[in-house]
Amino acid sequence: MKPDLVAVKGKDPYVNTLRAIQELGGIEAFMRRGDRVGVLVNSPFKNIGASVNPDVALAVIAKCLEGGAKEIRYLKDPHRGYWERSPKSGKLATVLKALKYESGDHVKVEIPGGLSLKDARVTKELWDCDVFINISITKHHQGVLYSGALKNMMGLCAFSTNSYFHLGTLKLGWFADLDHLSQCIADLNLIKKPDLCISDATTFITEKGPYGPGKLASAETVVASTNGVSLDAFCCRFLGLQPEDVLMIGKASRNGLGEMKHDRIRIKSLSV
Amino acid sequence: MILSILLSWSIVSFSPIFSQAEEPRPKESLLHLLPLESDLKVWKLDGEPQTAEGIRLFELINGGAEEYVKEGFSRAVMATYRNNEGKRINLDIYEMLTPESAKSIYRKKAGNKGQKVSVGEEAAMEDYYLNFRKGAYQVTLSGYDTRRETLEWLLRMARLVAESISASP
Repeated sequence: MKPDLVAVKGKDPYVNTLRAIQELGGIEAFMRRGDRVGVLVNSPFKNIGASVNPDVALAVIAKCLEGGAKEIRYLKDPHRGYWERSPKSGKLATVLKALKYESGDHVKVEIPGGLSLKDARVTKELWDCDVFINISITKHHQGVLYSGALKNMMGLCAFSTNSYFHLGTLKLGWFADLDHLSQCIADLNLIKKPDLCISDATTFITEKGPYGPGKLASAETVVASTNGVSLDAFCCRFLGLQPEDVLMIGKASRNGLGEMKHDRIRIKSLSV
Repeated sequence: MILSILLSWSIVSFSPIFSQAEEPRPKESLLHLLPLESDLKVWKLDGEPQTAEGIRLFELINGGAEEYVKEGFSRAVMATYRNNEGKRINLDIYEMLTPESAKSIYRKKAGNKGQKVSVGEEAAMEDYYLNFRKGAYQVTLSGYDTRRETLEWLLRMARLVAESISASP
């Protein structure tokens, strides 16, 4: 039986990522030839350990192209110089050339099942994609404590929507109402479930997140799952947290988005 | 609705911003605080520096802006330098509303674990980054490795910025 979640430990993030995808059934388990693929990569921050290691993103994108993707949409622009941080970017120049970046246009999406968030303005290109892949980094976040797949979805939103997450209840301060913020994140995840979630837990900040710079930890692990809740419930351990410590994980699970109990997730851990 | 939320939040929560609006003062660009390429030998600016004022800082550094805005943030300039080996150093200069604001944010950013170094009024070097403060400015420089050469450049760039702050009006 295929696992729900795969954690691959090894020195090379690119190799770890390829192996994690393979263990979940290969890229063909998630896409067909000719599909448009949207990748949401947490890559806007220049500090080390605050953005996904570019080799992780490159591995996913290369796999999608190999699988016959018609188009790869990069749903949130990376910081300047992001790809050059990878020693593989020269060799994989053709992969990078295939990317189409966001237009900056957002469309309003209703969220009927949302408890705190009833609508959101979301990157237009998300709706043009046949396949949606969420690529997050496991890292510290000074507001919600942990940032991973669920939190990464905020990268799709317009500034006005994200401001509502933080300020909607008129409590003063960007992280003043964590319950509201966490519920909004859980509600946002109702708009579209990723077909595949990957989290980079190779090198990441354990303080001063989401932007850094801060103290780094290295778990040398890439984690993949078809479910963002399960992925976050697993990855928060790298920051010394339990799933119950991270409000948005419980709220997303109660929204019916996935399983957060470790004993109910089929986990496969391996080293390469 | 969002606009009114933002407006009321910025007025109530960050009264120094409001006070400043009552007594506007002319502002010179922060770009003059960036080290000149001629002083940096092999390091060149990697693209155009980015700037932000007030709450727009959230658009540049997302949730990382929270503490700055809370402590009384005015504006920032951010630049990346690249050398001929492709290595990069990031430089973020934050102008706070008062020297006290800069001191408060410095305490949060630098903590007390780093190695004290001589830059500005107070400075600390950690594994791959350096924080210092001077006057109303808090500055962070970060590299991508812990090599001695990288750390020496962080220190050197930091001192150039500190000198520019001295020369500021």
